[in-house]
Amino acid sequence: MKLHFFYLAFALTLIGFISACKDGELDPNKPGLLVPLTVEHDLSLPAIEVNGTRLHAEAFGHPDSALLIVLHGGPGSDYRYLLRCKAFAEQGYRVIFYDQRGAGLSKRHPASDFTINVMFDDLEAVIQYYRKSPNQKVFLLGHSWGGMLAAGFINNKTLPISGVIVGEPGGFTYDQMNEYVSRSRSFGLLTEALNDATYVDQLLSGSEDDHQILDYKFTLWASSGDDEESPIGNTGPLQEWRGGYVSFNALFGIAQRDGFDWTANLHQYQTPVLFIYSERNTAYGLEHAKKVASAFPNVQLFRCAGEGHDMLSFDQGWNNCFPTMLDYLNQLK
Amino acid sequence: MKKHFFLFAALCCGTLSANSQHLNWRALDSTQNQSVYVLAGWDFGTHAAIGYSHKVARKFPLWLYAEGSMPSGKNLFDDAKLKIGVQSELVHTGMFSVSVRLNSPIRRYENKLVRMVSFGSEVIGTAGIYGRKWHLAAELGFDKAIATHIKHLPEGLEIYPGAQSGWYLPTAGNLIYGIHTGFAFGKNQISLRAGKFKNQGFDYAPFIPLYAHLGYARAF
Repeated sequence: MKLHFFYLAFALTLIGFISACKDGELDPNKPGLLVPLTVEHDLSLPAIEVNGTRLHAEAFGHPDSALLIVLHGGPGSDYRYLLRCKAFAEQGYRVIFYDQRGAGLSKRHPASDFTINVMFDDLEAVIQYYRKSPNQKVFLLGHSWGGMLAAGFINNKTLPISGVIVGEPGGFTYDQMNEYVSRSRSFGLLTEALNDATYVDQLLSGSEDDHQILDYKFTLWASSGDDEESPIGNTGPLQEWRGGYVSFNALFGIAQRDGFDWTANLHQYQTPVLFIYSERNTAYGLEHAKKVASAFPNVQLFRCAGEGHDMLSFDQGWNNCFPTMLDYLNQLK
Repeated sequence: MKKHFFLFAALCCGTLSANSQHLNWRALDSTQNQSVYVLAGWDFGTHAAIGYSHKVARKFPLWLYAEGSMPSGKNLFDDAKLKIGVQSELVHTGMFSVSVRLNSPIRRYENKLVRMVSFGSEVIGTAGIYGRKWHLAAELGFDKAIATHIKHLPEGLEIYPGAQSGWYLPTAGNLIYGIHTGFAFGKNQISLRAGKFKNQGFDYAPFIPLYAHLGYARAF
């Protein structure tokens, strides 16, 4: 029996000693080592203070031009992968980018700060921040989760929106979103993409306060979607600054817990809607696009050839989509 | 120097620690001092493992073991896990038995953004009923990634050029809880482990927070 305790004690002593040998090593929770500093730690980043948070945000184009608010996906992603949309500034639009609450280079928040409504309120506050006059038109361009946010905003808020472009929003109801997410994350059990997404959990894990580890893991997790085995069909790696794990987890958790249906008032939105889906995303497709788009009474469906889910991030997808998006906006400007 | 000592200590801890293929002590006879085993199932990925264990003390059940495992995927060697450890029975009263397994997993993970090598420690206690032909037990453990070397690859540095490569510690801790059951026939044992993971803060679970292994062991 003594030997049992000897081995146990020896092993546990070594474990304790190893744990104590921390000095001089890198602390994964030190800001800036694994993921970039946010607007909280790097005051040189462009930022706005709205609705009780500090958002990483930039604006391009003449301040009096029609506003085009770009809404990134995720939730928890950032606007870096949509920066090609700056091109609209050269076409007479005031293009606004912001990293949503808790995402990208915006300020982090605890999970308890997130509600769906606060995301709508943030968007409204961003519009009000940049809008110079009541006559200045406001357009929304939302990709993936950003498209859901745009539709939910139109459904839930009264602020007039002069036009909206959505790119493969998962769904405007929980069931639609769940269907799509299930398909888009349906890696085969033996695939490298699934392994890349899950194996890392034993090397990186953390609690809510361990933002750096969680965000870095989220970045690795998200990158598995770029794999050729992924059904979403991207043609290259996506460029993002920081995945906001807590914001993703909180908002996805709220959706799972409470469900949502943002379609009740969309039939009143008579303005044409440009709805983009991609050729290569086999988890989406025309059928799902029609189902989701049916909440709007006046929809122009556009299939982006040669590209996958993140169609606005790559040359072919952008070159195919941009003229159509510009025509759409110019007709409503 | 400190880094080298740390790695040495972690490896020593591994050689003094335990086994993934939990043994049914009652199914072993006194002449059986070795076993080989294979495992397959889900453990942070679809994986397969092979292991060898050796009894190192005559008067009480103390087994050293080594186990290597790899998850599936087209890049077979980019991810892997090696465990070196020891398991022992601490309490034996009638059919009731309490065992402990200590091991030091060495893990490798690589994707297009990063390459990681991690040294850790895993402790799992098992308590249950053990007969000569079968066993049923509950297990509770903790797995800590104590030190992880993170090497950011060019594609990862494109995403964040300021990312620092080096030794990070600690980087992960997961609670393990589940059941372990199996039956024995002759020199053979078939076992099933299944359970869940939870992070050490109990607030976030892994992407797929489950494990399930089917194992076959042959003692000789």
